[in-house]
Amino acid sequence: MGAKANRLDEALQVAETALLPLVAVLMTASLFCVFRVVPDEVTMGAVQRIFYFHVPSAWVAFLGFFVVFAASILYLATRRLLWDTVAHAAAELGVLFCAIVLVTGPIWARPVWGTWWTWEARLTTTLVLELVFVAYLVLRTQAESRLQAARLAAVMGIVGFLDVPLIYFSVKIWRGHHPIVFKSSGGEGLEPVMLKTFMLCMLTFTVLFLLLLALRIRVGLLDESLAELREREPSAGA
Amino acid sequence: MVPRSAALTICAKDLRQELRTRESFTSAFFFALLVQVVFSFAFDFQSLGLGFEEVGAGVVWITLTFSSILSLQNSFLIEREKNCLAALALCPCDPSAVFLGKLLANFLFVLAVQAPILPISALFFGYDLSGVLPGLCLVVTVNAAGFSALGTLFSAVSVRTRRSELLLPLLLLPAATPVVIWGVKATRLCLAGRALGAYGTLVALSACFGAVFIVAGILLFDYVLEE
Repeated sequence: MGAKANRLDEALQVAETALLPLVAVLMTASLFCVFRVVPDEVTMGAVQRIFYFHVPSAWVAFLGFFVVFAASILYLATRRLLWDTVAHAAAELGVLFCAIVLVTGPIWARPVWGTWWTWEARLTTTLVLELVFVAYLVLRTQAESRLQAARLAAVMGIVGFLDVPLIYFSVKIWRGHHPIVFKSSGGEGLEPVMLKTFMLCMLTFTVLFLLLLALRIRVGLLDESLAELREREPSAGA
Repeated sequence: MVPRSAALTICAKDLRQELRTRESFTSAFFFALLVQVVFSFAFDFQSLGLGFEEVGAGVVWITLTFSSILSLQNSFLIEREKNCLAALALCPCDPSAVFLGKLLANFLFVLAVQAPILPISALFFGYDLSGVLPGLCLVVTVNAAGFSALGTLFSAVSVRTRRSELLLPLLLLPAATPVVIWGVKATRLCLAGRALGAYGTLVALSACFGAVFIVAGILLFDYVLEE
């Protein structure tokens, strides 16, 4: 590992040490607020509480995909592999949180809408996005070299993100106006205590995302230095 | 070389190769025909009493999407033989010209397969296409352009990887969701005998999709072609 990479590694470790206790405190506070402080929603009852995890997961997933987009552009512009490592890490986290959205959504929808799944604009967009970025991850595994993976994945990351508004818009046209409105997802018309809890959960998930991103980037850097070592001493890999 | 003439040269090369071998067209055409047959077995439209007005749009778009993947894939697989990809990358022209040339050829292949397939699927359903033909041609042409733009870019991406045949549909199908949705919707309105005004917006949206990814392809193709 070069001196530069070493410094980066140290910085990431510092960030992790700072973020880990913060996430622990915030997560405990969030759980306490969601299960102890916030009252039941009038019509939906207890199941509405899933939204305190569902919506922040969706936000973090989109944040992840945006980071993929930005880091991909930065990689193609600067050719620094660090940006590719960032994009890869963010894509994995985006796919993970997107999966959480796709699992928690139906759990909520079954008692409230009476169906596990409906081809509603937001649901469909989330599903298609998940598929786009799963394809991004598969593409990475199929490349023939590290540099090639970085380059092709960057192209895919940019195209995939450009596609997001188009997909959302197309699905909206496809479904027309869905009769059921998410009241609890907008933040408007929420009880102040619900809104505060919701904002706390958003903050918690954002910090959690940053922590996981730092961890995943560091794993990526370790992977890289391992690959370098193996190249220098082929027997080390055996 | 001027980019435009370089693009036309590359397109002409692909067309010439196709005319000599007829590989892409034959496989895509018969695959499209097979999709239609499997479709009829799977849904048994006749006993369900469904006509082309109801299900035609779905049949047309599934056929177009899946058969186009074959010809899109072939577009860059043929360049892998004898390392022609490297030669393309070394072309003394802008990389975007390679993209545009390939795109034009792919677009023409998609249309060449659809030209006989559309009347054949209408014939299977006993539907008279003559009244809706201009509208249908417009919808298919515009959406095929968008699909080919994204497909050409992804075909070049996937051909660089170990198992390109598996990867292209995985990359292309989710990302092409908008053209499929707009294409199906516009085709359905068109087959129902509605005037252009009813689906003009959808066609315009598909044209925008095509424009976005043609520009993206022009800007990004350099990075895909690199060794």
